[in-house]
Amino acid sequence: MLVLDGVAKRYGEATILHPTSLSLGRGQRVALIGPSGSGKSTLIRTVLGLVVADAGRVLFDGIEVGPETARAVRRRCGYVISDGGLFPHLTAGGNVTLVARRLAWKTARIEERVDALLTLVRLERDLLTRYPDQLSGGQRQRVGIMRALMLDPEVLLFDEPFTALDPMVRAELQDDLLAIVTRLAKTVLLVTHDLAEAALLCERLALLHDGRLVQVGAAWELVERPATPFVSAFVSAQRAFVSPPRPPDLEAPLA
Amino acid sequence: MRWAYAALSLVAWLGLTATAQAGTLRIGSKRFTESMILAEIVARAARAAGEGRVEHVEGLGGTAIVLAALEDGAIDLYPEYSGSLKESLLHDVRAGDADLARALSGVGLGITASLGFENAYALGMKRERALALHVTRLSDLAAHTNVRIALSNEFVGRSDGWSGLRAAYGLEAFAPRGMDHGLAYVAIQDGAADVTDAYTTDAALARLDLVTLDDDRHFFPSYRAIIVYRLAARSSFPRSFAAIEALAGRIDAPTMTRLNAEAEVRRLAPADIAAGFLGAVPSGPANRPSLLRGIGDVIVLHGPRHVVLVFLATFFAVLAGVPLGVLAARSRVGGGILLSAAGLVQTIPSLALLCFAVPLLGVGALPAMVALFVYGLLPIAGNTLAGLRGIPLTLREAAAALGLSPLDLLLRVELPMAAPVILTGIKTAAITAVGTATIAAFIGAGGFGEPISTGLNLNDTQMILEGAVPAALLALLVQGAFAVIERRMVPGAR
Repeated sequence: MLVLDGVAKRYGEATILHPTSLSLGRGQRVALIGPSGSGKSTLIRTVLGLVVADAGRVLFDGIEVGPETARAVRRRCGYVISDGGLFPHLTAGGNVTLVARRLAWKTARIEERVDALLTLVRLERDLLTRYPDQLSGGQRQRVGIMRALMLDPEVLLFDEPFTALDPMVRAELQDDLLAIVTRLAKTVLLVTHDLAEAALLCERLALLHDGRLVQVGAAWELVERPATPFVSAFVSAQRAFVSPPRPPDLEAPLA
Repeated sequence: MRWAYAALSLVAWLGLTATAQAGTLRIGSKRFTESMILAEIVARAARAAGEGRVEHVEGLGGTAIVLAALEDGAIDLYPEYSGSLKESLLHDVRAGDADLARALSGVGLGITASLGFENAYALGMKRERALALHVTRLSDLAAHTNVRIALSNEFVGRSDGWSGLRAAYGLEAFAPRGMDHGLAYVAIQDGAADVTDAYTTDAALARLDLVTLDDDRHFFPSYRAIIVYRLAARSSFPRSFAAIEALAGRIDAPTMTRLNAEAEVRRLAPADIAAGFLGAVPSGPANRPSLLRGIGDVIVLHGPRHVVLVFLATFFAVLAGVPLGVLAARSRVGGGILLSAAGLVQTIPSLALLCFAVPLLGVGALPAMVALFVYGLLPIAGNTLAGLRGIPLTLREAAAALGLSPLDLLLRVELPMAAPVILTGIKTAAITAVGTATIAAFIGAGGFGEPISTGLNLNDTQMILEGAVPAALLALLVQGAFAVIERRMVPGAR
């Protein structure tokens, strides 16, 4: 479905991305993980033609992404960014239906699609009349996901979608998103620096470091068979929550 | 599209108010000082009657043109001379007054009694030359064929001008040069000519030290100064005409010569000379309205024109400025040049900018509108550029990622997101235009600047305020209107 073939990018003297290759079969879910500045955001943006690679090529369902094809490819992708990326001058509903209206969809068809998406992302209908700044962060992100899904795209691209959210909302959205993408069986490319999020949502993880792909595999492979010392360092930097021991003087009265 | 039609029809209105507006008394004048001063005196007298808008359609050229304008109804009245009317209507400059009255009423026109002086033709000769050659009468001239004669074009063509004069005095040996009247005086001044035609109330006679040659064979007919008018206008504006007819007999030849000299020697504007003349009349200042009443009158009289001028200039500035800003946002170099140009033009004083427009576009509403447009263009284009550049990269990418067409992307996402900044630019342009449009009166654009500029010339504080206060009120109104629009544009406040 999606093939990145030797994609590379430089900004002046700085190499953001060394030649990188990665491919996703239809319905596969891959997470691009790595620290800030590792090139993962640059890589995902080459898929949409938002960043034009200096070398290599991106194939979308066999079509090479370029100036002429970018628009068609974008219509077949849903793109979700941090905080939803909603346009402040449109209501939530206006954001969701913008492209469909420009494509002259019939009103009934738009309404039907919006109804289905409201159920899917678990959002109340009356929130659609609100403007983005009248919504909570979690609601904005649900609207952003609705907008990405509106045209029923084959590929979903998420660029650090949940970084702006507080932990409870994030966990809830992660669960909901997992349900959505497994149910729809979409091809997913997710950019995150959160290993737990990557492991939850995707079956394959691609770890980037300084513009190079250092390891591609399932989460357990990165944990148990790290390809480089950096991989183990990255993995061990993500810590599970361990409660500190209960203070001794509180133990007796409770018992 | 409907907006475009509305704007175009407003442009037409601006251009045609001179011919199409009902309830306006239009006073014409010929293209020379005396005619313009008389027209201003008449206009001032009519305005004092307070019957509606009074307009002076200046400098329409010779008798034939003004008379045609009068018969067409493009103007309602103008100052004329009995001899010129007889020549034009009856082709006989010596026709009787009764014949003239009959001819006039036949075409729906009438005349007032004499204003009090005659402005007959005469030939003027340099005093020293006349003394040297001992020429005091026109009949003396025939003997001196080396005298150089420069005549106005109109005089050359008239039967009561050169052709009749030549026959009456036997001047066939002379070959006068025809030229513009003003240029004929220059020729006299420079010593390129000795004799020219002149009017008996002509200030140039004294200025150039000319003596008028005695019309000893009584060739030149009578040229009583009168006002010729459309009978229909007289019945529509009875009080104005009463005021105009009261001027009869009030201006004698020395007074008229003095008024002409004020224009030609002291370089005063005809309107100011008229104001000065009528100001000496005891009844004039007594009729002066209160400041509040005067402001009200100015708003009614000049407000629509001022508003339309500002609106159209701003409208076209938006129409051109926003696309310009969009183009600049697409190109880094172009954007830089645009912003520098915006800063530069803002530093040009508005009066200077207006004066630049005059050689290119003449005087009146058009050059004023163009100047206001130029002022508005750059804040709007600059703010469009700033607004588009101010959209966060992430949102711009999110928009691009939707796969909209470039036009949809611009119209549905980018411009609406830049709209608050663009609106601020439009507000700046509109408020600047309200202020600058008052200065536009200096180039004949009308509006609230008209009482201001007249008041400045006359050192009349009340008149200045009558223009300045409405202009300030309009600026506040525009500011308030934009505040409302801005509040409505904040998402969620709708």
